[in-house]
Amino acid sequence: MEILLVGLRFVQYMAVMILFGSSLFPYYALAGNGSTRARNANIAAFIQRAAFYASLAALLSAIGWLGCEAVLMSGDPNGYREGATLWTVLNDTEFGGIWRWRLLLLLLLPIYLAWRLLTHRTPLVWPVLVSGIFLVASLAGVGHGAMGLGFSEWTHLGNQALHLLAAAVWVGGLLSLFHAIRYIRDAELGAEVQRRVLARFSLVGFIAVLLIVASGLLNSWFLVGSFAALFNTTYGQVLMVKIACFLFMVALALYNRLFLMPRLAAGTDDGETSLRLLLRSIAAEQIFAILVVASVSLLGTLPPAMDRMVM
Amino acid sequence: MSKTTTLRVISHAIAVAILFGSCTGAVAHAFLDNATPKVGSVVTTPPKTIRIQFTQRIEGAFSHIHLFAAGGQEIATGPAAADASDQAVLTAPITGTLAPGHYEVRWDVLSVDTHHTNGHFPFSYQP
Repeated sequence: MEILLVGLRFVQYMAVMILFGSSLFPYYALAGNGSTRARNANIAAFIQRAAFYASLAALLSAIGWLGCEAVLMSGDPNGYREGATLWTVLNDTEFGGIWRWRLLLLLLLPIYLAWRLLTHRTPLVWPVLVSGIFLVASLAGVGHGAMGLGFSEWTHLGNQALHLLAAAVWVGGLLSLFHAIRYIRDAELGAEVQRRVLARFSLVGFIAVLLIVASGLLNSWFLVGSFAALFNTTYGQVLMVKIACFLFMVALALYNRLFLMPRLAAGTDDGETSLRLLLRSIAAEQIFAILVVASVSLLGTLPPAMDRMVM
Repeated sequence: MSKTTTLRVISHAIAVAILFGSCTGAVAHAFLDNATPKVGSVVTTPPKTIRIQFTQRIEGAFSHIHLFAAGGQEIATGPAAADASDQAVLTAPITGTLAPGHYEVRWDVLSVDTHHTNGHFPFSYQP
């Protein structure tokens, strides 16, 4: 059951990060940046399509997650199909207090997006963005973010929400960036537009990385407790794997920012080689992002390293 | 942002990360903090309720307290509930009769971060 829960957590985290991060992308990378109606409409349509599939995945994994919690909380292997147990989870626990609102939104969002897609309406990004903010931030309240007493609880909760939102800006933004760069190349909109989109994503990505590092450090203070616990607890070891994958993402981002972007801007080669390398690098970043989210999905089911110090 | 500034900010962030490693912080998951009757105590009047203070808030709907006599037979208790004013406190009324002797309280609780913990502690009743 725990393995199933890790898988469902992974799908849930990936899906809502894509919803938020991909829908924020046009607001900082495209707005006022040599906007063309066709380009913005194309990218908005891509985001709306991606959001539809992501919201479906989020809905299904949220239902599955609720079923797993019903089994794990009650200790009853059939808890997932017992109406009374499911009701108690939704009605009498802090997890349920957050989950019922998430479920409601996740029921409405795919219906709304399907209606827009089927009726061929002009793609709208902001409803996805607003939903994404709530869906990402509220995940902070259902895991280790909910622990603690008094002041530290609210600090930890807010910090965890910030950590998730900043991570989603980067992880979800990569998906839109990958599509946007390919679209700009295929539609031959020019190297200057491409350069500006990359520069803006790079700046926002840099701010996101700083926020991830700062909030990640505060989280470690709450959940790990000591440097030694990073090595001699399972939680600490998985966290190290997560940090290693994150550092690979940072290294790739630096490679893009400090090596490939100047080459693209200077036109030191035919442009195609640098662009191909850049797209590969973004794809590799996405793979490491998937590994980071997989580690997070596992971490939420493990007792924090701090517990070992208490026991 | 120049290359040098970018690298400098990142190296500072990593240095702070290493320094932060030795800090200590809050307690995760629910563990026993204190209890009434006290852990390992000898009481002279039979307690009416068992009250356990945990290190974290708990979900009363999925938390339990059981009381056992030295011979292993269970003493009747009412349903455990989280305290209305402090969600880190779990109480259960003792509805059975206590004879003088040794007892063991067993608890299993679900903390608000959805993890189970359990434990037990003894006390004695000597009028």
